[in-house]
Amino acid sequence: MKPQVNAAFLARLATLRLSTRGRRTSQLAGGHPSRRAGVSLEFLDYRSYFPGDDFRYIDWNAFGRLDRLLVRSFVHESDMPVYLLVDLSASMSLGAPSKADYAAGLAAALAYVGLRGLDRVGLYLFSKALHAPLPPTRGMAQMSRILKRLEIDVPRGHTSMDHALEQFVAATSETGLVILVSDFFAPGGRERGLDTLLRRGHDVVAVHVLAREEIDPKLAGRTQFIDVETGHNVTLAVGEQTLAEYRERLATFRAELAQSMRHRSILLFETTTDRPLARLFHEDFRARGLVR
Amino acid sequence: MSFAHPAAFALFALAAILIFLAFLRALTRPQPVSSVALWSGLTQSPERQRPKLHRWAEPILFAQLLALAAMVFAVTQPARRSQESALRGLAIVVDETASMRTTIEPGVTRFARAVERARELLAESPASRVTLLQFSSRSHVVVPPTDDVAAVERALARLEPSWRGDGNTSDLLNLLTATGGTESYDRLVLLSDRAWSDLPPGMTAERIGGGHNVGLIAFTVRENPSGPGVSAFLEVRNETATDVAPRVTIRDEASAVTVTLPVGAETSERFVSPFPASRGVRFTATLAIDDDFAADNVRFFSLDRPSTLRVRWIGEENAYLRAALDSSLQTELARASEPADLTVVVGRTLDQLPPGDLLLVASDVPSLYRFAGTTLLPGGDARAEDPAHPLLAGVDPAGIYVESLPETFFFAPVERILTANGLPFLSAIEDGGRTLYVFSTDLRATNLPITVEFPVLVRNVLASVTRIPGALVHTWRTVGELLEVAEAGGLRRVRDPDGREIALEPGQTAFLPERPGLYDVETDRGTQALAVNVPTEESSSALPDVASAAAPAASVAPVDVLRRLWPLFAWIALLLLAVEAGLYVRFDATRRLA
Repeated sequence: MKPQVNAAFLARLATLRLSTRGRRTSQLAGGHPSRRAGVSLEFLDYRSYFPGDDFRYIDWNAFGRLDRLLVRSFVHESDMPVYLLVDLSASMSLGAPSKADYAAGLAAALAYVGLRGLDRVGLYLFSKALHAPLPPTRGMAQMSRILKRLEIDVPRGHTSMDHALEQFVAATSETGLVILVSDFFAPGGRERGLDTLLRRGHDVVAVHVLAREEIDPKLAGRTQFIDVETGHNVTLAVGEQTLAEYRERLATFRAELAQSMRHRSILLFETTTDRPLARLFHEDFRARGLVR
Repeated sequence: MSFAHPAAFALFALAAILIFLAFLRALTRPQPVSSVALWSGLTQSPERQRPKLHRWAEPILFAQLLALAAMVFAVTQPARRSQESALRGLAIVVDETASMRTTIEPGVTRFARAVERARELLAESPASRVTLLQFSSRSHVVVPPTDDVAAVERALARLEPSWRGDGNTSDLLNLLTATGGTESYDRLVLLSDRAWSDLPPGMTAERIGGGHNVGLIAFTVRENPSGPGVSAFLEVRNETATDVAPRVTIRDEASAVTVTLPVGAETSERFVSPFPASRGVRFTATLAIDDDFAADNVRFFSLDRPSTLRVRWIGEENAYLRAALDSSLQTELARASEPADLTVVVGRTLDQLPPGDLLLVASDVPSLYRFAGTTLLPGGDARAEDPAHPLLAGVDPAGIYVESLPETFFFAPVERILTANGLPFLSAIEDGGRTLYVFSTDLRATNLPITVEFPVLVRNVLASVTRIPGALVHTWRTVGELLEVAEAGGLRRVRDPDGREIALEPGQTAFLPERPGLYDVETDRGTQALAVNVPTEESSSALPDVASAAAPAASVAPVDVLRRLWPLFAWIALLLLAVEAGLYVRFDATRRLA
């Protein structure tokens, strides 16, 4: 694959940080708010002093006003692993640029943002199963490993999202932010795998990538449609009516996907391979709180 | 425009196949999709069932059709005929003799200047027919009459000077006659470093001169008749305006001798240099001088020394006779199955004569002569019947005494050479083109074996009956001269001066040396060296300054010139095929992915 990123684009992402909607818990301090109160610069609340509390957090101004010993508590910022799950099935090879290249660029950009924010970032490419994963690690050395992995791997095989996601859950012990990049053409289904992710406590974000040619195909005449994953084919005499029905069917597919994600409280982003990644980050991701 | 093969236009029918194949491809277009489920069961458009060319197929088909058209035009070999002011015919003859290798300015030889002049002639004398020839002792046509000037220019670029000598202008005339006759050319030009007075009619010579030469124009080696070693005979020609004293080194296989030879300006000098240490047969003389023609600074010579004489012996061996033979020539005994140069018969009666030359001692041949029984008659001092007989050169018969000898009756013409008491002692019999020498009595009945005359007499006999190479024979040949080696036996292998083997046909008895040096010629009689030199006349660079005949005004008239256009169409076809391939790669990526 050829990740569509360059130094100028990454420089524009340098100020961004990944954020989660929920409060994460982890033993390691990090940059993401946790459900636990703790030590940070973000004030959370007051509570009564108990013997053993750190004297440094007693609010002496409040003691002067209220004559009570109150202790300031802060948002505990915990470390959050970021898991980038990228679909690398054969269907991702379609489009110009291909969906795989676009997804690779997106994954590289997300990895950069995460690593710049001192997150631990891991990469999990999958098709019918997980490919050789890169477990979450902090530091920019991980960036080069991720880029290399994205460059050497190529789309292949059919999609088995349920199986791949269950494999992922079994392979990881720590919950975190899961960013799932796929075209979601999964003949075997995807709901079971998504539910498994959620049950494990992961914060899941989905990015649905489609090629422009898939949304608005320019076809006419007798055409043999070949499923690049299964090899099944169907031959049609394509006309305006055919294309209209296709667009309607695709819209239904996208609506069902959105409904499914909404039902599971999964943040879903839809994009096409002709949409610049910079706009995706600065307009969509920022607007809906994936980055800040 | 005319076409050499108009029938080739029928190849345009192939366009139908291209169009058919394009539409066949268009019949169903493969389209890879992420999920065929999105397309399954959709409403079809009946009006779209008919084949339709895809957007990408149209330019590809167009390029294919254009390429086909260009190829068809190329195959028809179109030519455009136009009226141009040009000569009807131009013949350029380039002298390729060795002297054309003379350097006339740094990096430029006479030959290179001649080729350059030939190109100028092509440019300044456009002709509807051009012929290119090379002139030497083996003149030949390089490019037969053609209207393809580019082909002549390519041939000029490939031309190389030879090592041969001057040719015969009558050969040149024959070649020009074979290529249409001299009258078919408006201009015939010979580019040569010589001045020619007997050129074919209509031909003009343009002199390509320049360069100075000091060269070895003769080199031979002879055995010393009175002592060991050899003497080298050299002739050096100095064509410069100053006196020179170059050093000449003469080498054989093992040793060398160097002499300094002063030669005055514009003169030739001959020298004899002793080379007493030499026992070799392959000689090289090298003139150490920096001049403009280096080819004659080295000359080669091979000395043909006597070879081994194969003798078949019949009858009892005679040590004295064998010693006398060995003193004359190196001999070796031949087996009965092997060919022999000489058959010696001692004390036998031969009913049938073996082939070849014969020396008969006390042996009778009933078909030619016989002895009168076994009774020997008293002899006496030998007497020469003809003292001037070549067999008796250096022999004093008075010192020869014959004790006894038989009476001999001859049935064939006989020449008595030595007699004793009136009876023939040494006779010569002619038999079918060969000579038989007969000693009538046993040599032990004479004092001959212990006389000084015996070896001389035997050598004279051998010199008469066998082909003994003369001790003073000297050999060298010139480049381009056919070398016949049949007399030396069957030709087995020839190696050139670099040691490379020259390919020979079975039964070949001659070969043509194309460069100077020492060749190794292997025959049934052994290996011998053959020296091949640049012809002596090539050393003469100071040629008589004969003014070239004024070139007759060539008649330039409008003539039909045929311009061949097929290469242009062939290039266009190749270009279009490249464009078609590019279009295929550009537009067919999706299909290749599927």
